[in-house]
This record gives sequence, C-alpha cells and structure tokens, in this order.
Amino acid sequence: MKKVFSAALIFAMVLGMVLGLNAPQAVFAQTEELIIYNWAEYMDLTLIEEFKVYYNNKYNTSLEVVYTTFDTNETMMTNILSGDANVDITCPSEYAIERLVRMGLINKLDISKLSNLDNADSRIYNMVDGIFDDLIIQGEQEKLSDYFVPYMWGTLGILYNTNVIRQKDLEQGWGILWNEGNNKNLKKKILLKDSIRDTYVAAVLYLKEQDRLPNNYKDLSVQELINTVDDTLLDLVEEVLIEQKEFLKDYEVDFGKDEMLAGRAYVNLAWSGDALWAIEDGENLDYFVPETGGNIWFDGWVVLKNGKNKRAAYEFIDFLLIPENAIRNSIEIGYTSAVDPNILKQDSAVVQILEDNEYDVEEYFTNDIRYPEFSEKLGVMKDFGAMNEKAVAMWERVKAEGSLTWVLIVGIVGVVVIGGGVVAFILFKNNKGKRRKVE
Amino acid sequence: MKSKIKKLLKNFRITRSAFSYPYILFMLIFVVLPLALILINAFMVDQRLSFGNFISLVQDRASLPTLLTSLLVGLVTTITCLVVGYPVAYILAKRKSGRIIALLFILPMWVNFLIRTLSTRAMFEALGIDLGMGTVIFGMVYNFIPFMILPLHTTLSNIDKSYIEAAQDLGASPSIVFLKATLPLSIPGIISGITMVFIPTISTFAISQLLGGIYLFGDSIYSKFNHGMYGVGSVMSLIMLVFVIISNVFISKVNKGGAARNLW
Repeated sequence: MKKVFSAALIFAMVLGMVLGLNAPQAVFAQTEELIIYNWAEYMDLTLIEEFKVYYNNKYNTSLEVVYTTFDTNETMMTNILSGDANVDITCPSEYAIERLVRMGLINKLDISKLSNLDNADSRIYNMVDGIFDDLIIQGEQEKLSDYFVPYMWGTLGILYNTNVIRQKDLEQGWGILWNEGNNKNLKKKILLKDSIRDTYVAAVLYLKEQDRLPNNYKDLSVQELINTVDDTLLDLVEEVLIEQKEFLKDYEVDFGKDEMLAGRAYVNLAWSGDALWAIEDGENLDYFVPETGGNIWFDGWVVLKNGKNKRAAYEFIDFLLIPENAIRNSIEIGYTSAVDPNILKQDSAVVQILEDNEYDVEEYFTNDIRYPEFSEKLGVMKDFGAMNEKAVAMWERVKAEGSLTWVLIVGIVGVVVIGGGVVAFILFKNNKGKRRKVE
Repeated sequence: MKSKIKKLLKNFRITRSAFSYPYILFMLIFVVLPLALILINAFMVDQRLSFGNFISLVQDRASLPTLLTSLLVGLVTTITCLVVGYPVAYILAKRKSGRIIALLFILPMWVNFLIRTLSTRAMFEALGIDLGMGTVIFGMVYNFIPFMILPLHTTLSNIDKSYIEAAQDLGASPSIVFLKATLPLSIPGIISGITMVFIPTISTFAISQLLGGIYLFGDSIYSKFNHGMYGVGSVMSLIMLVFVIISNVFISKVNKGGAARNLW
C-alpha cells in the first residue's frame, strides 16, 4: 500500500514546492534544497543526515533534503512525466533510464563532478551499453552509460520456503510459480509481482520452459525473448497468468518478504536483494534463478534536467559511491551494491563494517545470490514501448478475471435472501390478519 | 486610480457572503478545475481532439466486467449495510444504552481507512480465513456502515413519539406499529443512507485489492493513471461521474418528501 502513501507524499511535496516558491526568498538564502526520489526502502537513511553535515562543511550552507519514494518504475515515470514533480535525482532501472533519455528528461553526466566514479563496477556499464546499442539521440549514437551512475543491481528469481518446497518442485524452474510439481500445499500460497514488466518475464520464460511458445519464438535467446512483446505473446501470457490464479495469493510489490517470513506465502517472485534480506531473517527461506534463464537488472542515479540543485545532486551521487557508504546501504536494504566488489573487499572500513554486522567477509563476496555470474542466461529488460497500452490492458484482464462470477453468486444469493425475507414477511402479515378476524 | 481602490474598499463590506469566499476559491481549485482537466483529458489523444479514448475503452474486454463487478459490489455492500445497520440504528434511537453502541460504531471511523483495512486483513490472516469476495464485502461493509447508521439514527430519533403512541392506542401490535408507522417515517433516512453508502462504494479502490484481490473500476482507473494512460483514465472517471449523477437523480426522484435533506 505504499503506492497510496507515496502518492500522498508526492502531493505533499508538490504542494510544498508551490508554497516554497512563494515564500520570501531572503529568509532561506542560506538554505539549499535537494529533492531525492528513490525506491521505497532503498537506502540507509542515516546517510542522508551524514550527507547534510558533509555538505554543510564543504560549502558552508545548510541543506534541506526532501526524500520521497516510489514502488515501480512506471509510477516513477508517470510522476516525472507529468512534469512538475521537481525532482533533482532519481534512481530508475536501466529500461526506465533509456526511456527518460529518449524523452530528453535527463542530462548527460558531468564526469568531472564525480570523483568516485571509478569505484563503479565497470561490468555493469559494459553490459548496459552492449544491450542498449540502438540509443540514437538527435541523429547521434549515444551510450546509456553516459547518463547514469549505477547504484544497486540484482536478479529476478524465486524466493521459496524450504519446509514446503521439495526438490521435485525446484526442478520445475519457473514452473514452480504454476505449481507444476503438484505440491498440494501451494494452493493460494504463491505471490507474483504487481508489476507487469516483471511478471511478464516470468510468464514468457515459463512458456519457453513448457515448450508452449510458437515455433518462430523457440530460438530466441533469453535477452530477446523477455523483450519480445507482440499480440501472440501477450495472448499466451494472458492465458498462463489466468491459469496461475489458482495458486496465486496476491500480486504484491512491497509486502512479499513479510508474507514469506510470516509463512503466509510459500513462493514469491522476488528480486534478489529482497530475497537476501528475507533469507537473513528467515532460516527456512532460499532463493534461486531457474536454469532456463532470468532477468538481471541495474538501478542507477540520474540527474534530471529540470532539477534545481545540480551541485548537491552530484555531491550526493558521489557520496554514495564511497565504498563505506555503499556497503552500509547494501547491508541496510539487502541489495548488491554497484560499487566494484574488488574495491569493496580491499577497503578496510568496509571489512570492518561487515564484521561489525556479523558477516563472513569471504562468504559475503562469493555468495552467488548476491554476486551471480553475468551470463547469457540473464537478460536485461527493455521498455514495452509502443506496446505498453496493450500490455497494461492484458494485465487488467488478468486481474479482473474471475471476480465477476463471484459477485454474481453473492448478488444472486443476496437477492434470494432478501426476496425470501419479503415473501416470508408478507405471509406472516397475512396470517396475523386472518387470526385477528377469527378472534 | 487611488479613488477607484477607495471606492472598491468602500463597497467591500464584510457581509455574510464574504465568509464563503475562501470556500468558493477552494472549490474552484480543487473541484471545478480537476473536473475540467478530466473533461479535457478525456477528449485528447496526442494533443488532438478525438474520441480515441472512448474507442479504446470500449474495445478493452476487461472494462465492462470490471464496471459490472463494481456496481454489484456496491449493491451488495449497500444492501448488507442497510440490513445490518437498520436494527442497530433502531436500538440506538430507542434505548438509553444506545449511546455506547453508537460510540462502538463511530470509534473505528476515527482511524484512517487504510490502517483499518490493513488490520482487518491481518485479522483474517490470523484467523486463517481465505481472502476473497466474502472478505471484500466484509471490509466494505465495515468501512461504510457508519454512513448508513448515522442518517438512520437521526431520522429515527426525530420521529414524533405521538405517531407511535397514536398507533398503539388504536390497537396496533408492536410489529404493526413498526411497519405502518416507524418504517414509513424513516424512509428519508434509509434513502440518504443508501446514497451515502452506494456512491462511495462504486468508486472504491484499495480496499478490494487488499482484502481479496478483487479488481474494481476504481482500481482500474488508478492503474490507468499509474501507467500514464491519462486519456482512458479520464474517460473512466467521467463514466464514474455519470453513475454518481444517475444515482443522485434517482434518489432525489424517490425521495420526493425531501425530509432528510436537512441532515446531509
């Protein structure tokens, strides 16, 4: 339900800005403002306080930080696109960054202002540039890596309860979400993402696994398949998602880990960081990316063109690239930092922080959920583009499926009960009348 | 120039109507302007005037079932609220202990609806009840029943006792008194209760999603705006508005006496 909260926050923010503009400027002459628009639960918030002090010492001005959150890339983009949400920096996933670049909403980074940029994992830049190789802006070939500073990365996979899930279920790969292993405990116990982009990936990979794809799709690589959106595939995805509803507990984006920890759900389509976070607290939880392949994603900071405070924006992004701060964020939220693990490993402060938090440093950097291999089995998502509306319509059909019959049943029962009541009442009334006559 | 201002100031007196200016301004910004924006958005496709949004809504196979679902959920909720709420309101009006019961019903209203719904969800889960249509209806009734009870309570306690006494003097049994005197006299309350419940329920969102994953028209509008489909979302909002107007007209037709108007 963070959606509602964040909507309210944004509203408050916009209102605040409107009011702020009208306020007498002289009073705030010594105060700067930085507006950060981040994913929910995606940062160690004490760092913001530390940054304020750091900034104050460096520039001798006090800084107000407005920190607001979103829960899907789509929400974030809608709010940015609707224009006036006057954000300085935000942290979208790679496909959303591409879209923002194409719409001309973000600036190319001024590398001279980022002294710690070398800390960023270069594999991420290489992979992203390899995939978004058709980025042509005003006739010029551009590199997406010039526009963002990586923050966190991870995979999309399956978080499951080891007490309930058997080896046989795991062998089904993505099929576990459709209960292909016929585990009788899974009815209404599976959570999918309330984000069409992610759930679409799971659905097409399931189709591939089950050999249900039409012939001309069979040879596509994972990268190509998860980014192929056309009417044929949309119909197939709709079909399998409706089939899946028998086992579905809910579509969620933010309460999955809690449901899994509480044992109210047994399988969850999850992002690796959420999974790591949950596994730390729940010993009976584990995570895997199926053999068929999966999705790898990168979130990065971008500087918005119509942001007001560029200096603080760059300073903040640079601040997050400091190994010590990067590892603190990682520990707090569970996700894998985009700061090069080799740099992290060698930083004594980082090692100290890890040890203080009771991590085995060696294990931390070799854990294959946290640091999976970059391989061809892991594809990067792209934007739905022109197919967005069709995909959203399909998603709504899936969600709406089934509720109508229920309402009809309840409605009919209700009408019968009330009708019956009225009939009984009339009969009762007539009886009374008759009795009185006899008297 | 100066004299003009003086004249204006002279003419401007703090009359009674002056107190309504802030509210009128508020209404203009937060009611009239958004409605105008919705109207404009509904007829715009790529910055051009068109009926494209209406066409894409009609072609969308999910829209009609969702609308029907919303209307039916609204109907069932309203009927349940009435059936449950009437006896409560009746007891409230008749007995002295009614005040405590009234407090029990009003108390949850002071809690934000989102928190209330989330706790309801947690309670269902703790009790091991599967979320579904039943829990959605429960949540809706729970959220909206005070809006049914309050107008009923006001009407019932305002009924002149002499009517009831007259009926009793003329030999009517308690059930006949209720049917022939109390019930007809409370119809204005019933009608305003129905208005207060039905109209908000058909546009509800979030409650249905949280308590059973039922997808209602309100959820669909939310998702449209969330995915940047402002045009179609606006058309759907207009449809919702049409339903609100229809139910208002219908209710005011039925409620010719208009006795309850002074309540709300």
